[in-house]
Amino acid sequence: MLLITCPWCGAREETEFRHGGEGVRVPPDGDDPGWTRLLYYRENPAGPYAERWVHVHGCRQWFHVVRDTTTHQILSTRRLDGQEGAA
Amino acid sequence: MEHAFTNPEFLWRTPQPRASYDVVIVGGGLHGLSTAYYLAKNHGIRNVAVVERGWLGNGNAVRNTTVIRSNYLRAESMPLYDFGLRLWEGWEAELDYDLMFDQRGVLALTHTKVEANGVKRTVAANRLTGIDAEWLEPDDIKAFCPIVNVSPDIRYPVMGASLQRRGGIARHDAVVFALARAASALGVDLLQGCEVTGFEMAGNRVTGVLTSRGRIGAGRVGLVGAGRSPLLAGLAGFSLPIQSYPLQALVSDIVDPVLDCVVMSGTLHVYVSQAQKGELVMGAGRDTYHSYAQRGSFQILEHQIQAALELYPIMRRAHLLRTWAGIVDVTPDASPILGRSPVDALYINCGWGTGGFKASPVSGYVFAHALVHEVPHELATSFSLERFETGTLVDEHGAAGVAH
Amino acid sequence: MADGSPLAAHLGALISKASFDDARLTPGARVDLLSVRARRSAVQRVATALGQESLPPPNACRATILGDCFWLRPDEWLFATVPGGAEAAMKTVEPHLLDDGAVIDVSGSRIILELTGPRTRDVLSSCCPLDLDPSVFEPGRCAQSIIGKVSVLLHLVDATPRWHLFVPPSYVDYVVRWLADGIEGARAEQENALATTPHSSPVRMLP
Repeated sequence: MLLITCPWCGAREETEFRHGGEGVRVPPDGDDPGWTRLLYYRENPAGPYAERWVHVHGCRQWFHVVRDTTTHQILSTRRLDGQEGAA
Repeated sequence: MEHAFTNPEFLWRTPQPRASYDVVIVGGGLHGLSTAYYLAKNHGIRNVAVVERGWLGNGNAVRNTTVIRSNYLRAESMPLYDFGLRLWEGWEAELDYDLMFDQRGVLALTHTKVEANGVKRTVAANRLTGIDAEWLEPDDIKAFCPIVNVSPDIRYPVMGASLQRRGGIARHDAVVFALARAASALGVDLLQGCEVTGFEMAGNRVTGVLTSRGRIGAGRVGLVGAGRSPLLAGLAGFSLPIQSYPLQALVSDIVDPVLDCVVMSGTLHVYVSQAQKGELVMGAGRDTYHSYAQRGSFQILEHQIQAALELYPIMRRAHLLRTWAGIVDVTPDASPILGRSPVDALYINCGWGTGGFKASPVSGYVFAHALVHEVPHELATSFSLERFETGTLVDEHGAAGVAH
Repeated sequence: MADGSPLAAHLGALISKASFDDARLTPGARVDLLSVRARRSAVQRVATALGQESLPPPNACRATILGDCFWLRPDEWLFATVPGGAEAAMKTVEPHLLDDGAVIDVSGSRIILELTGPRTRDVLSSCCPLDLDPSVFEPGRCAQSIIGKVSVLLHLVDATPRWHLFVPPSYVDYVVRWLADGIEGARAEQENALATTPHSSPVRMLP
């Protein structure tokens, strides 16, 4: 089980969270291949992966996580607005 | 028929890599071995290598729950999977190996009206396609599989089930051994400890694979990397619409025979069979996060055990013996990707996701055809990578679901 | 919750068997509940109006003139005020929000269960993933987490320890069953400990 540090609530067990997949999705300029990528393709690296989680049973906030997909180690978590901590 | 427990010391040759092959298959799991076997057997292409980064069958081949069935939903999928089941029915004789293939029947329980309607629809679709399928009411389920709790006062009462009597299980590593032996005997070089580190290209055409054991020239290359397919595609310069997740399973200690069929429950996220040795083999839904680590989170196992205890009270006395995880290659429509890639002479066979074991024969059969003829086998025309551009997806989430 | 309410009777039947001196579950006090959602400027105005320096930070509860105030998320706080006090409390808060927030009467959205006694940390840890060690979870702290699979707001009121669990009404039965099971376990453990001499083997025979 992962121990995830919510930027607002601190370290909590994975069961309080929901995984939200790839972190930042940018809509294409309008061409078909761009839309194909947006709809069906996701980054899937072996190593650090920028993803989003939501603290669904806690403060219900979405936040950024960088997690290593080969070790499950969580390298960083930060608020969506980029600010540090719960200030 | 030779028994699995009287293996000779070596089942296959251990050759040095040649300078080049007509076809190089990347990935020595069940689908890679099956592809090599059918290249040699069906098409006479024997100058073939299977390159495997670890040892044969160290990945999902031995990290699954060995469920075999063909009761998918879509017109595109049913003929593919049922042809695969027919291949299973002939494989023990064909490969001359005891695969412990046992058509003990696969039950898919339903617990809600919506789910029951969906499964009835699949039963009807199966029957119209000539695939054996039956709908069982709770009393019939109790008669077919006495340990299922069909009482109406549990949290999710059983409302009925589909049954495919031709479905069943097999011994997964026996299948690896049988395929490796057969392919090797037909001339295929099985190169273990041979990790692909890159591809040699001439323009947009692949001409060889760069490996930890040196460069190997290739007329054509087939990528059969399951959960690691996106990494291989990345080395070749393209992306796949695949996400890699852990899928966990577990076995109990060895208990007396209590379960002589496979039982699945999509709503409760658990499926169970009893291995011939006596362990209860149990699987569930995948973990939620991406991973290449071949392990998952414990609450997934806890959840499936809770479900199993409600459905099968007799399992209360079993103990958890061992757990494991494979890395499954999940596509947006839960159907495989078979055929050409954006790179010339490079073909892909991946995306079998949570249900690859059952497809081991047919996957190799149709992919070998594509590698030889450069067009998909008639059973696989709907499973090209281009479907994600054209939008002609083959949505099998209902049939793939938890039911592997 | 008033005595004689159907819920109290229901809870009583569920927990009377399980509760013991070191872990006791009872229906908590009835309260009216207010949700205050506001931007930062309005939050400060509300705090000042309530005589506070600020509204509580994450995972904290503070007593105010409107009752206990709980941090829920960066822009939302929950006030637990006296029964029937919601309307007056709203009138206290509303003028300070201007266009920067909203106050809503959410009375009835959660019911309070009270859990008291020295073994309650063991009881909670049987069904809740929070780290409740006294060194990190002190009186005055609150946290939103899960009991079993259900979202709850947990508040450590004092060092007894006395806990308040804010539970959605439709899940109270489920939560009580989890807690009663935990209490039963704690009681059995204590009885075993009393029956075991200090030199006996720590390995227990399975039935």
